[in-house]
Amino acid sequence: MILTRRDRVFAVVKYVLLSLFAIPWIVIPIWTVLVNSAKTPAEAAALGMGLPTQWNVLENYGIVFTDGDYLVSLFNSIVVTVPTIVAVVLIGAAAAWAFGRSRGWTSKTVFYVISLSMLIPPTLLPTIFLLQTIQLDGSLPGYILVMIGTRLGIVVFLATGFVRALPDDLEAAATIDGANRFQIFTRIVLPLLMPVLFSATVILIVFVWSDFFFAQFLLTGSARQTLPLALYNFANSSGQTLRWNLVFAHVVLTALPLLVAYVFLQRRVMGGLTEGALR
Amino acid sequence: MYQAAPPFRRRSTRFVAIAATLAVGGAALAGCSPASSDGSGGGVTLTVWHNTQDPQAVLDMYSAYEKESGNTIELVPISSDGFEAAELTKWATGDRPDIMEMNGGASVIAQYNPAENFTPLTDEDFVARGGDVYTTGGYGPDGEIYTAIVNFPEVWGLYYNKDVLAEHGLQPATTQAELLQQCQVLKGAGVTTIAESGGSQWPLFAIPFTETTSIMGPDWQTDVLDRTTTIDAPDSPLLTGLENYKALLDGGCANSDITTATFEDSVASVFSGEAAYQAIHSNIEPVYLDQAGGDAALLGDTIGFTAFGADAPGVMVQPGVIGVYALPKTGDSAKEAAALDFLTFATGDYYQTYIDESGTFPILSGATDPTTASPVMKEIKAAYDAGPIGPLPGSGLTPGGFGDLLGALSKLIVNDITPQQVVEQFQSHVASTAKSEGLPGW
Amino acid sequence: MTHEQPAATDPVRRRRRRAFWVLWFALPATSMVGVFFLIPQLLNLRFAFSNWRSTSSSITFNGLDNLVYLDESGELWHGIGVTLMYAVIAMVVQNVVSLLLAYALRETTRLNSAYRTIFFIPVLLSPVAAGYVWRGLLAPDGPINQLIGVVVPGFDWAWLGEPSTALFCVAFIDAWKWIGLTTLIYIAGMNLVSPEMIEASTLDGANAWQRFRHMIFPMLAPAFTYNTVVNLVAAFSAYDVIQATTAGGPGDATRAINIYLRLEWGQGNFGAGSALSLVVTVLVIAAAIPLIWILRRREVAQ
Repeated sequence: MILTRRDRVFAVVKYVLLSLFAIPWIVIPIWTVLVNSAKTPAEAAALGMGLPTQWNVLENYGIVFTDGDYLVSLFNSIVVTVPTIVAVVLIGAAAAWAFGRSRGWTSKTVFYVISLSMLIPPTLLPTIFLLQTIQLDGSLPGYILVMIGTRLGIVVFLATGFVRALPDDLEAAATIDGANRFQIFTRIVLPLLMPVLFSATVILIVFVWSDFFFAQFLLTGSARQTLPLALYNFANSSGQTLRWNLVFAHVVLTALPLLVAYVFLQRRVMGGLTEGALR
Repeated sequence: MYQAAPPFRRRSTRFVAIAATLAVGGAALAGCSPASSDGSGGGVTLTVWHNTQDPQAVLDMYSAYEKESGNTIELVPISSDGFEAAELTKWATGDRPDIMEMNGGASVIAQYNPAENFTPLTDEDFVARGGDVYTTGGYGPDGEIYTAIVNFPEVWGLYYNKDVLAEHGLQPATTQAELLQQCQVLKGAGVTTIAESGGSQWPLFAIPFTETTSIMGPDWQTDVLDRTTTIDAPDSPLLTGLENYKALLDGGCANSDITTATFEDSVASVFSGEAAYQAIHSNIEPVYLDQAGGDAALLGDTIGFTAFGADAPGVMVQPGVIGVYALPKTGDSAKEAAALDFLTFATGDYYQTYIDESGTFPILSGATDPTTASPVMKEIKAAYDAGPIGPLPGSGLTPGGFGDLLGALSKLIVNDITPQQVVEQFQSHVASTAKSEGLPGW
Repeated sequence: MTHEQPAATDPVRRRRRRAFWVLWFALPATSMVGVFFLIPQLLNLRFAFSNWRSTSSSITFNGLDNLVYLDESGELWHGIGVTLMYAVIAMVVQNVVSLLLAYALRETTRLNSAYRTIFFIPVLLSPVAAGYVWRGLLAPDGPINQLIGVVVPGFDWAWLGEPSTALFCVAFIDAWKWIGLTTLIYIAGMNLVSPEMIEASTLDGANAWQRFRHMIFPMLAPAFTYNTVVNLVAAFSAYDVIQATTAGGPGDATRAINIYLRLEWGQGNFGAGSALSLVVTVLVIAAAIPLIWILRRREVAQ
C-alpha cells in the first residue's frame, strides 16, 4: 500500500490525538501512583504530581515487602491463579467440545446453565457453608475450587461457539483411523482451540488474580492472603489514616507480575484473539 | 496412523502436559499451606480476630503473652475499614475465635446475642477496676458486662487551634451558644469555625451527638426502649442536637468542602489555622502529632482540647475498637480458660508495660500515667476526669443503634433531609428492629 | 492400512457412543459448576426468605417479609436505580471509547502494539487499587483538578463529593479499568474483515465513515454482544470500585445494590442481605437473556 502524503498527515494527527488522550487517561494516573510511591508519608498525603523532594523509594518498597506480606501473598496469588486457570481451561475445553458436538436437549440445557453462571454473581455465605461441610473453608484449596466452579462459564461459553464453527472432518478421519476420544481431544481439538483458550486465559488471569471480595472471606489468616487482600489489609493497617505512599507502592508491586506476564504473552494474546476467537 | 500431525500439535501436547503438572503441583502446594504451629511449649492455640489497625503496643502484648504462658496466639486479621461489618459477616459463617477484638459499643455487642454466645465478665476484677467506663459501653442487652475494656476509650470533644482563638481574643467554646457567637467573629475574618469531614462520613455525628449526650441524661435510651418516650418526640434531645448542628451549618460555620473533606484534611486544616475547631475523638490525637512532625511541644503550643455540650460541657465517651475484648463461648474449656487467662495477664502483670509502650492513659485503676503523653493527650484526660461522661446516643438502643446513621447525616449536610425527618427515620428503624428482636411492648 | 468400518457407521451405536463420551467430557465441568456455583445459589434461596439475623438462634421461614422490608425502606428501588445508571454509564463509556481506540489501533504495527499495551495497564490494577488511585486523583485539590486549573484557575470541584457527579465518576472509573481489554476484543473483531475487502472499497470511493459503518461495524456484532453483555452484567455486581471511592456516598448517591447488601450485612440483617443478592441474580438474568437474544439476532442477520 502506497502511503500518500494525506495518509501520513492523517497518521501523525491520529497519533498526536491518541497521545493527548493517553495523557489524562493513562499517564497522569500511573505517574501519580509511581511518583507518590516514592515520597515520604507527609508529602504523599498531598497527592501532588510533582517529583519527590525527598526520595523514599527503598524505605517505602521495603516496608511493603516486610509489613505488607508481599512475598507470601504473591506466592499465594500464584498458587491460586495457576491451577485455577489450567483446570478451567482444560475441563472447560473438554466440556465445550462435548457441548459443541452434541445436539441433544440435555447438553443444550446444561450448556445454557453453565454459560449463565458466567453472568450471575456468586453468593458468599452459602458458598462458605458449603465449604464448611467439606471441611475446606478458609483454606486455599477450598478457594481454588470455588474459583474454578465460578469461572468455568467464560471458557465453556467462548469455546463451545468456537467448536461449533469448526468442521468435524479431522475428528471423523481420526475416529476412522482408530484414535480414541481422549487422543482426538488432546491432539486435534485442543490445539485448534488454542486461540480462543488464550483469549479466555487473559480474561481469567485478570479476574482471578484481582479477586478481592471472595478472598476476604474464603481465606482466613495472614499466611493465606492473596495480593489484593494483602493490599487492602495493609492499606488499613496504619493508625487512623491511609498512608498513600505505602498504598501506592503496594499497588505497583501488585500490578507488576501481571504486567510482566502480559508483556511476555502479548504477541500470543493478540494472535489468539485475531485468529477468530469471536466466531 | 492418521495423517502426520504438524509439529505445532505435538508442541501443544507437551504444553498441555507441562500445564497439567504445574496445576497438580500448584494444587499440592496450596494444600500444604503453612501449618499453624501447635504451641511451642505444648500449650493451647488461641485464635484472635484482630483489627489490622492494632498499634505495635497491642501486637507486642500478644507476643509477651505467648512467652509468658507458653500458649500460641494465632492472629486472624480483619481490615479496619468496615471492621464491624466484616467481623459480623465472619461471625455469621459460624466461625468462632477464642478472643475477639471488637467495637465496645452496646448496640454492637447486642448484635452478637451475647447472652448466648459470649462469656460474661461482670464479676471479673478488671471490670471493677474500670469504673464508670462501663456505663458507656461493654455491656449486653441484659445488663451483664461482656467485653473487657483495656484501652483508654474514645473521648469526643473539640480540638482547637490556640493561635487562631488567641488572635481573635476568644476562649475555647464549650456550648452551642458560644460556638455560634464565635462563628460570627471568625466568619468575618475568613476563618472556618468547624472543620467537618463529610468525606469520611462518620465524624459528622460528633457535634450533634456530643450535644445530645450532654442533655439526654442516663435514662433517655432506656425510656425509648420501654416506650416511655420516642426518638422523634418534640422534646427529644437528639432532635435538639441535630437542630443545633443544622444551625451551625446554616450559619456558614463549616468548611466549604464539607462533602469531600476527610478527617485527615480537617486535622491539617485546624493545625494550619485555616479552621478553628474540629469535633472528633481522642484516638485522632496521633494524627495531630504527625501533623506536628512528631514534636509534642509544638503540638501542645498549637492545639488544645476542650469538652463541649449543648448548654454545658459534657464528655461523650465510646469504648473504641482497640483494646476491647470479648470471649466467645466455644465449648472448649481449656481454650476458654486460657482466653480468660490472657485477659488477666493483659490487665494485670502486663498492664503497666502496655501503658508505657502505647503512651495511652490507663483506664483501669492501679496503674500510673505514662510519661510520654503529649500535652493534648493530657488535656483530653483532664476532660475525661472532669466529666460528666455519657455514652454515644444510640449505643444503648437495639442492636445496630439508629440504623443508617451515616447515610442520614451525609444527606443532612447537603440539605437532602431535615432533622425532623432524621429522628423519624431513626424511630422507625428502632421500632422495626425491636419488633424483630421481640422486645417487650413493641 | 485398513480398519474395519461397520461399527463406526452403525447409527444406533454411534448415537449411544456419542452420548457416552459427551457425558464423560462434560462431567468435570458440569459437576464443578453444579457443586460450587449452583448449590450455593439454591441455598441462598432459603436464606433470602428467612428471618435470619445475627441475633437469631435459629433460621425460620418468613415468606416475603424481607422483600417487603426492602421495598418499604426504599432500599430496593433506590439500589436498583443506582445500579442501572451505573451499569448503563459504564457500558456506554466503555463501548464508545473502546470502539474509537480499537479503530485507531486496529492494525498490528509495533507502534500500535505499544499503544495497546499502554491502554491495557489499568486492566491489570485490582478494582480496589483503581478505586484508591482515582480517589486520590479526583480529590478537590488533586491532580485532575490541578490539570483543569491550568485552563480554569482555582478549579476545585469535588467530583466524588457532589451528588450530581459522584455516580458518573464512579461508573467512569469502572469503565476506565476495563477499556484496555474491551479494546483488544474489538480489535480482534475488526480484523476479521480482510484487508483486501477494505482496499477494494477504498478504491471504490468509500470514505472512512462509510467503511466503518457498512463493513467493519457489522463484523463486530459478536464482539459487541460479548462486551455489552459481560460489561453490563459486571456492572451489576459493582462493589469494589464504589466502596474504595465513595462508600455509597455522598448521601446515598452511589449506593448500588451491593452497597446496600453490605450495609444490611453490617446491621446483622442476613436474611434481608440474602434477599438483595437474590434480586441482583434475578436482575442479571432478566437483563442478560433478552439482551443476548436481541444481539444474537443482529449477528445472524448480518
